[in-house]
Amino acid sequence: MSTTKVQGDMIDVDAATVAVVAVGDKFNFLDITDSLVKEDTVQGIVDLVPAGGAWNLIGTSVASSSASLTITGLNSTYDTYAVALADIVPATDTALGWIRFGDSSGIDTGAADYGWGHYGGLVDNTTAGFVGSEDNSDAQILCTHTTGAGSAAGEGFGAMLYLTSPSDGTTLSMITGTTATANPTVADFYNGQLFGVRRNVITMDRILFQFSTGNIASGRMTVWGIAHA
Amino acid sequence: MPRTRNENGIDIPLTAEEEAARDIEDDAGIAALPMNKWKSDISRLDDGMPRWFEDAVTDGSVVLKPGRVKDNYDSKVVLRGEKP
Repeated sequence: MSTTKVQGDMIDVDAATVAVVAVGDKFNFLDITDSLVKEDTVQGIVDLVPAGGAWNLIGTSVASSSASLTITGLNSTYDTYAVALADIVPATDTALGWIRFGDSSGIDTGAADYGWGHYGGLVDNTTAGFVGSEDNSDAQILCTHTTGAGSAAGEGFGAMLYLTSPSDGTTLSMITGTTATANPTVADFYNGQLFGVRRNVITMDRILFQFSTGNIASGRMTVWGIAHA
Repeated sequence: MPRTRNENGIDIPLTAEEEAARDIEDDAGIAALPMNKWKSDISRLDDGMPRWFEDAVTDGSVVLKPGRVKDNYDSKVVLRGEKP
């Protein structure tokens, strides 16, 4: 089979109008399998990108001397939600970080609503010691070490956590993940594995973070729904 | 000036009921700070000497010679005496 190559001059497009490409914009292309010039849209290319696994933003909440941070809008769309607590600083030194869940009627604060376990390592100036704490019947999920988060310069708290069921899930609402606490003036540094559970099945649609005492001076909580397809 | 909570990026003033509930939590949180610190300290010592072993020494089932283990035990005895 012979091939004929044709060389042509490029059209000078320097003076073309600048525009933002939209999904509905059309373009032509030469299909070399049948030598025909064809037409498609930008959406046609987008559709070729495999879907699935995307993190979809549910909401974000930024603290500015706030009593709490809450994200609503969790539902049955996603089976797994990711929760990031970033750059969190308490107004009160050594305050404990708390997580609570809720439904359309509000945040649950009953004395026996939650269970939690916190296991990890303290990093001080002599040894790296394993520490743990738990409570199977509490009014919140403790998400810092028991000495809490520091409020001095550079001190604070952060975590990357996951909710393990959708709002209409069969299992209890559970959260798990890793946490990091800096409080060197009291207990140095702490890295922990967190488990928390709402002890009754609820149609969970919201999550709250607050400290055991005092406001959240600064920081952000963000929630994403993780698509499975 | 009432406190605010941030929900989905929007600052919302606490209601009078929420303020009252938060005041109670704040006071309890402040009162709990010394115990929180003590729990952390005893938990750290538990790593070097579990409670069951400490109890065995206390009731005389185990006799410790001077050294690191006895130092751990003595530290736990002192700390238990300082429990808030």
